[in-house]
Amino acid sequence: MIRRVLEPLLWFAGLLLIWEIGVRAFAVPAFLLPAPSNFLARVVEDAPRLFHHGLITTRLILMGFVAGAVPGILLGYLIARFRWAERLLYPLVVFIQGLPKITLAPLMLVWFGFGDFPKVLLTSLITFFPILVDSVAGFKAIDPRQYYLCRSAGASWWQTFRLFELPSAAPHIFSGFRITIVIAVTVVIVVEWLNSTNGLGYIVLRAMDSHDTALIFAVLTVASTIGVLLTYGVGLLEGLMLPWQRLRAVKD
Amino acid sequence: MHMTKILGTAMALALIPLAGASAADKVTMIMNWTADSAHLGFAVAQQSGYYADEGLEVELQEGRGSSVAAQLVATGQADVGYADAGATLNVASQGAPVKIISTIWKSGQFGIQYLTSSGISEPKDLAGKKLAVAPGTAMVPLVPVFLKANGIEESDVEIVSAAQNAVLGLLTSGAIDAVAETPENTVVPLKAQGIEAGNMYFYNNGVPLVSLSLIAREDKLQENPDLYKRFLNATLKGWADAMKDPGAAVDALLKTFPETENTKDTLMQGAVYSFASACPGGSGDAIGVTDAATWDTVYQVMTTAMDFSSDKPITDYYSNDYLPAEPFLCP
Amino acid sequence: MSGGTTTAVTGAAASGAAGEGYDRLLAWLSPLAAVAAFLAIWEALNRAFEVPLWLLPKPSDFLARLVTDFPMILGHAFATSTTIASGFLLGVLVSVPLALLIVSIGALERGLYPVIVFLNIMPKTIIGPILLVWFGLGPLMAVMVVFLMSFFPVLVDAMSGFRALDPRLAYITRSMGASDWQAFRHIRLPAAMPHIFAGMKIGIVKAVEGVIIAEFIASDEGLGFMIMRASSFMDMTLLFSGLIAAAIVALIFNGLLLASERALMPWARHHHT
Repeated sequence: MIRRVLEPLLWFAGLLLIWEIGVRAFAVPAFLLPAPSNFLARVVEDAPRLFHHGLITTRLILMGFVAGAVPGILLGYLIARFRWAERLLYPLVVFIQGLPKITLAPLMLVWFGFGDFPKVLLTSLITFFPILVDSVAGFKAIDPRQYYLCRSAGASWWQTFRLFELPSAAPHIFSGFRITIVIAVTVVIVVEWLNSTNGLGYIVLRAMDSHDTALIFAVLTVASTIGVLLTYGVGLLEGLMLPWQRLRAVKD
Repeated sequence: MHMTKILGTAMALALIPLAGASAADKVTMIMNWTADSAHLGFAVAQQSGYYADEGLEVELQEGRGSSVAAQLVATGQADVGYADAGATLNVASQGAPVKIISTIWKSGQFGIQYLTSSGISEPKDLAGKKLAVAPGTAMVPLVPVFLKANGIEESDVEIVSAAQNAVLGLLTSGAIDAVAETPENTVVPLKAQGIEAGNMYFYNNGVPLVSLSLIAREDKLQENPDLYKRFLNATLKGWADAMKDPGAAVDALLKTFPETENTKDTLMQGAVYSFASACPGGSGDAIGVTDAATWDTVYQVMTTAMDFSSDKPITDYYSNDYLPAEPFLCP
Repeated sequence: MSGGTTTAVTGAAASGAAGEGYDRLLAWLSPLAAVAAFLAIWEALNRAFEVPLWLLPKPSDFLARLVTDFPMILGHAFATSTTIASGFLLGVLVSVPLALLIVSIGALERGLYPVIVFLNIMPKTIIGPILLVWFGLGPLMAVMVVFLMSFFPVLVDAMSGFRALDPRLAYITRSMGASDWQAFRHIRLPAAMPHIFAGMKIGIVKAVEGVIIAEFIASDEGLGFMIMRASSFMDMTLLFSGLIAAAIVALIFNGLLLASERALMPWARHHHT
């Protein structure tokens, strides 16, 4: 347990140390890349404000995550199970993903204003994709013979889905969660930058306008910490929901 | 694209005139960007109660770009917009029903900034140098016009495309010699790093273009001309005051937009540039007013050098009818 | 996952050699049909609600630009594709071995993985300018941004892939005298392949996103550059042609991935229903 906390901390300390030395050795100008000693102080200084906007951002990350995960898993199931869905829906999804959505942010602002809705929509448009792809892979990995065995034993469609298919696909889906939770943080920061009046991304916008790079990196430190914590959260959730995975990991 | 469905609803809502526009005379103004020295006059009008004197309740909303502001005005989500004239004309030329009713920055801040050490001091020196232009900005169409107006072949200058937050690094690392930006975005932060940089405006070098302007939707202007006249009167009075007392104007801005990260110091530096853009004619210039002759020159530059459509006359795009009868003058 | 069991239930389409050919034709036609349907719905909604051009152009407004400006758009699309291919390949080449390393060494998983997560969250719009100063003006910065964007999904999925193997299977293999390399090549890697491919499918889409961002930051060519240029002139029809072209590039790369998936994992070709 101590190792789980101590080891990442040591790595981070090492990273920051290299960063600090690098910036000083190469005399990198502060507006390009500030030294950790420079922006970590700002994290402490601005702690109350960063905490306040951090909560707003975390809320948006979680909303965008859920709004992406639910359709991601459902569509993933459809695509894995039905040929026509794979043939038609999957290319459509890739096509829509290929459209640079960041260019949509100003349009969304014009259409929907500064509310929660456009922000969650924009975030979920990006977060749902990794979950979808991993769900497809998960549902496809199921041995069809086992599926027919379930149905032949009299299990209803819902029972088969809930008790057999979903748990079988879960390790893949959780891997999608791990990707998405990290992407969600980045996306929310950008979305808030483009289209918000609060949250960490909004502070980045303010800081950029006043050329305050120390503040930008202070905000990003907080955002990254949120991302690391949420990643642990996904791991915890996986351990709770898929106890058999955990047991296997221990045996390893 | 399932958002188009919801867009329909949004559009339908947008077409309903803003509720109570006549009752409390609420005016929403969408700005071009977050608050800075380009918005000093509005903050003064707000804090000195000039809007209230005219029976207006004005909400100043920070924006995300001139095109977005023009679009928000065109859809009716904002009553007034503060947007770059070039961006506004581009949106309007594609059919958006918006008009410019006053020009606050009568000359743009856009120009070329260069490292003093690069040996550049006038437009001709740009030949053989590397010039960065931020993609997606209003600078992209302006740079060729500027070069042409100064007798420089476009092929003689190495133009590189680099975003605004990348150019400072490129300038200091020596990868580029100059950038097309505003001095407030380049000269001021470079100075803070101890690097000397110079500036030449497009406006003074053969590209007479108006910049940040107040815009409104045509039907709203016709419905309620008096409201817009009162708004302009209070706004221009605010700008006149701001120029007389920049310190108080900066305080008013900080009070109106408490969340801004800009310090009083940088705002004071920016104010110098901002007021210079508002009064290119110097003392006695009429604040917010661009006359028909100047508009004709602007139109000519845009249609001949910038591929702007000449389908509609320039008088379709602006109107001086809502300006106060007695102009406010630059100090 | 063992192959060959379920061809029969995939229906008439997949029976016999002629069916196989018909099937392949469908596989190529269906993306086109999907895109056509998408554009048709866009067009219909846009007309139904009379959305003006300056707000959102209709496909009929901008599709003609894809034809009239085809040589220019193709040139930009090619530049963008080259960047995607190099950055993405670099991402896969780094992340798969790294995933194996992280999974094999507990200390790395506890320590290095959080650091990677931390660094991955740094927005590329902020990293880009720093990379630009390091790598100079030119395509290298864009390649690095694509690499950074696509590397993470492949890493995470490859990690779960290398973990997916039932340890009992590993013990059986070793008990039968397989060498380390044999066990990896014939058991562990194939078991991880579906995961790795899932990661690559996510990664390639992220790569397209990354290249556009990178070209926004600095570029002289590419679809991102073209889109930004169009937006400078408020040329809405060219702007949307650029967006569509970027999406088509994503589809093509996705198709290439699917083809290589079929070639590398023939056993996974058939699945139920």
